[in-house]
Amino acid sequence: MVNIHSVAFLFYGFLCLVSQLLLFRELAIVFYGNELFLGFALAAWFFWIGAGSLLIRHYPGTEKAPVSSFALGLGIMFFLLPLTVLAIRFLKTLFPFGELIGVLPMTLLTFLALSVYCLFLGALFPLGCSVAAEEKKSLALGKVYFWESIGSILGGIIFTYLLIGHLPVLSLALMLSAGCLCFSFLLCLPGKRLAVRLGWVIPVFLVFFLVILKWSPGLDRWSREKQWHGYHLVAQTESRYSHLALARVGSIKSFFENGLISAHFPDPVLYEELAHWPLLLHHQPRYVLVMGQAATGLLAEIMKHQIERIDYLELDPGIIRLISGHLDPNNAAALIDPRVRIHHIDGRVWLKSAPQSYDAVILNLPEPANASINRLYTQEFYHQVYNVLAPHGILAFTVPSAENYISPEVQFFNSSIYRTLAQIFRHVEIIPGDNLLFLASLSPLELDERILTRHYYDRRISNQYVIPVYFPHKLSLERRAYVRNKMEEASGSRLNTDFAPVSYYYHGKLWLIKFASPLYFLSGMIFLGLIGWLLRTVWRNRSGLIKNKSGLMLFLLGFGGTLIEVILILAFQSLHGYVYWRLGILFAAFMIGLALGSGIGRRAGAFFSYPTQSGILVGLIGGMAVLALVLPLFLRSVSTTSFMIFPFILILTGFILGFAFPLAGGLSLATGRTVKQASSGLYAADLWGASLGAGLAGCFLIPFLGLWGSLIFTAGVEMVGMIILVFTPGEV
Amino acid sequence: MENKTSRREFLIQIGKLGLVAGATSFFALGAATVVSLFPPPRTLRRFFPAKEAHIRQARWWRTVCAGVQCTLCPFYCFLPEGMRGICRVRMNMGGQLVTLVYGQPVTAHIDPIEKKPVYHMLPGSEVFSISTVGCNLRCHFCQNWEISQAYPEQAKGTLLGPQEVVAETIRSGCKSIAYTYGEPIVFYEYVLDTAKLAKTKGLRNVLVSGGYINPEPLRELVQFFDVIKIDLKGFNEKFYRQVVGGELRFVLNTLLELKKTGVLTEVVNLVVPTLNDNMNEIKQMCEWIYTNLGPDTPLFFARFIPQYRLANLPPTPVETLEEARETALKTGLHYVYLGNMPGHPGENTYCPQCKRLIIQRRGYAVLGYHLRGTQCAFCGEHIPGIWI
Repeated sequence: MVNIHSVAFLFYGFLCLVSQLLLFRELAIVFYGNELFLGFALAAWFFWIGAGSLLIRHYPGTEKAPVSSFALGLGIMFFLLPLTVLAIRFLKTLFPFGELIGVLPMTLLTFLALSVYCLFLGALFPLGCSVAAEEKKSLALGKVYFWESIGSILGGIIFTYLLIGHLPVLSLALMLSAGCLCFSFLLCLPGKRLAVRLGWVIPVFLVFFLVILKWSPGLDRWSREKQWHGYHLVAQTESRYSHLALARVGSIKSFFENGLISAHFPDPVLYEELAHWPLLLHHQPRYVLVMGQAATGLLAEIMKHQIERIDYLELDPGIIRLISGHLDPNNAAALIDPRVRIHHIDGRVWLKSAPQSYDAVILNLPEPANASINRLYTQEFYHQVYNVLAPHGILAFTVPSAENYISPEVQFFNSSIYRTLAQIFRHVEIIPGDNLLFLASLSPLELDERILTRHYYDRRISNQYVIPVYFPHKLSLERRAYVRNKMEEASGSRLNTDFAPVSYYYHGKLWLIKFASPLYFLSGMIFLGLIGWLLRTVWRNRSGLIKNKSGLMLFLLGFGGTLIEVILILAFQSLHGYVYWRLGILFAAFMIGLALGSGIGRRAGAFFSYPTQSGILVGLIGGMAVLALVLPLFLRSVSTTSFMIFPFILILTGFILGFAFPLAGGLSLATGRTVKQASSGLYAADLWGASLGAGLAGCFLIPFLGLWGSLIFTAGVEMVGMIILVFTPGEV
Repeated sequence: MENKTSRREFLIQIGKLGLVAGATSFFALGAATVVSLFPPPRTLRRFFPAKEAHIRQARWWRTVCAGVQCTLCPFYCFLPEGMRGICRVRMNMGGQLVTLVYGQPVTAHIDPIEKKPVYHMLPGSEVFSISTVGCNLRCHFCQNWEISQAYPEQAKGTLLGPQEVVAETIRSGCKSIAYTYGEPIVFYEYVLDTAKLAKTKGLRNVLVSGGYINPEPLRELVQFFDVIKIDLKGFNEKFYRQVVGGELRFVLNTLLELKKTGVLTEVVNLVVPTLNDNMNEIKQMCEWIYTNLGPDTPLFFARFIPQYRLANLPPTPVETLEEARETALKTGLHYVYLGNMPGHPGENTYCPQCKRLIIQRRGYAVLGYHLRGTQCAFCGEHIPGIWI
């Protein structure tokens, strides 16, 4: 039955998902969105929500007046959300602008910034369950879980398709918090009839809404300017994919994606190398494919050659919209030149059905800082490029390196890409520098000064930096031999493939070493000590934990479900490319699975008696293990099948999780716990499992074991857990 | 159990928990700081066992109470047994200060001398450049951080003693040796022995350094050098402390000391946008150089390229560098250059007397050369430097 409580739980789900998306966007601007950060942020989010849900269990008195406690909780959220957004923005001012932030402050601050908000958010779940229990105790957990999932689905859809891009983050946060206040009033205002209460609340909400619309964009801009201190913030916008900003120091404009500089302009020196080395090498480049940041200078450089057509792939239309008005005339002209065709599409999608072959494919990609970017550096990707290159075509891209000394970390990172490239292309040349320029082709590449110089003068090119007097220095045999030796001697570095992505991991290690210090080392020891202490505590309480079997079950399912979700989404991006609405479908599919599962699960609880229920739960864990084991087989043949198999598997994964929750709830209630106790414990177990899964996936499991290995690992964990559950004594 | 706790007790419990967690992390961090500053004897050696075969006794240290004190640079690191200095490459081993990098450069390249950048010595020539790991500063914009911020164990060098370096230089046809990339002061003994030997073979020596060294060791070193390039990273103590990890006054002392010895000194200043690009400071710096080092001191304003921990800053705007150069020229300095700006007229040398272009450069290439001996080919003005 849908009543005001259900709508409140739905709003709670909405709040959880949308505020997560908002806060992660804000955090990404501070910490630049590499894989380690993404893992930590997700882990912190789940961890604190679990902790909040567990802590409220010990807060007395709420069960006497569950509705007003829930309403009070929502009222507190009214203050917390905008304050958290502002606090995260001001975190950035703690560091000198432009300075990368080390892993220790990053971890601590991410955990700290999310702590208060997530603790309260987590506490709302068991409170909600107590509210629901007033109607029917046995169905309470499933009911809240169900409506929360529906709210999350709605939140995801509304946020990505309606809200983001139209309103600043702070305005959205304020609206959400206004929503909290409204629901808080709705639930606890005196007056029995809903209509009366609505009569109070709707005008209040409308006033809030108007006030927010009027004043919050100014506040948002003000706090952003504080964040970009030292710069003049020229323009900013929220695109679907990231936060985009354009800021200026003197005459140099910098374009930021999620707080990380992705281009400076005007600065021809930056683009000359990438454009001219491959094009000067080619005897007659006519068709060029460009991926990545190109509007700020690369296009104009390429067009110094006699090009007939440039296909320029830029996934995010917001980027060109933001910067086109701020380009210098030369680059602005290149952008509207009829020879340039702009396509807002992911590179890997385009390459699948490229309409023609290219004389040069030039990539100006971000560094492979996370698994999602890494798929543009893999063997499969290079194979796709191979297929669209003309016989004398050249692939060119740069990778960060070091000019004078290639340390083992840089060597591993660079050589994993070099060796991957060399698997596909027979002829690979490297031009040394602070960034290594990789040139790859099907036919031999002649890095001959005379040919380059002849092309330079024949095509009447006039450069600032890449000019004939510079060729001998840049092509120094001694330096090239040094780099090539370094690339070839690192035989320990692994190939970077879609299903065993490693380059982003090597990149992460390189990033970590920038912040290495003895203090770091010791904090690592302290961290290990804490883990040891935690394990010891768990071991000491093992009898208690085993008694709470339903918690352990949900922990296992939460862990496995999150891992499978992360891996599937990564595999999908590699196989089918990054298409926004398709990814949206994947996330929605998982949540729909959850909703379906909990919807059916809460009814199923009534059908089965106690031993069957616990049997079903153990079976679900086994099901998760089997799913993880079978997935590689499915995915191996997926290139021929449609992409619809992914949502199907995600619905299944979500279903298992959703189905298990109310069932475990029923079991937990059967042991005599109150609804609040049961729900808080189970919710915490579920989320902590998810927290561990999210934290481990990107940073450790996937780079070490690859996607298949990680799935097998997941299956292994589930099976071990299942065996422990079956063979330990004690009631569930 | 639930009914037994009151709200007040619950909140007190939470407060206690927070207090304990806070206090624990505070003490843990404090302990970590103390331990990493003063580790118990031999800890670091156990974690990073030094390659004992290539260890040499160091110079410039004295024995103090329970350890040794390195007197090479202004940090005066006090080192108990097994402990290393801030440079990571000098260590107390058995009550003696040793250097861990003698004769073990991690990198050796042949570079154009304009890359150092040194503009007043043999333009267009190539220089044999070496460096070991280690540095006594911590610049957040270091271009060679993989070298300067590494431990000897992280970056294994090749064995190349002074004799081999000199032989290799002669074989490659270079006329000079540069001690560069990292910080040559921290491999002082290696620099000294190599430079001494190179001098006897008729080679020239170039030192490219942050200038963070004490006067006595500096005086001993300088006599073997032809050109010394000092990186004056800013003219602001706060910037030096926060971004560089040292103190400005010691670098200025070094410059004064170099002026006394009369060795040809070039100064480079990396202009980092928003951090040390204040024109007033730059003006003060130029005035200080004019007064204390003389108008003939070549001064470079180098363009910042995003690096290391400051990877999220833009490069320096051209007009900032041009304004800095104007300021320096107005102060009365004769030779002011712009670095990392290929194709800019600020790369050229102009005669201070007749203002004509006497050395034309583009990047690392020398395109025109109008000097006769040490004099301007047009007006005969003496141009300080070591010329062809």
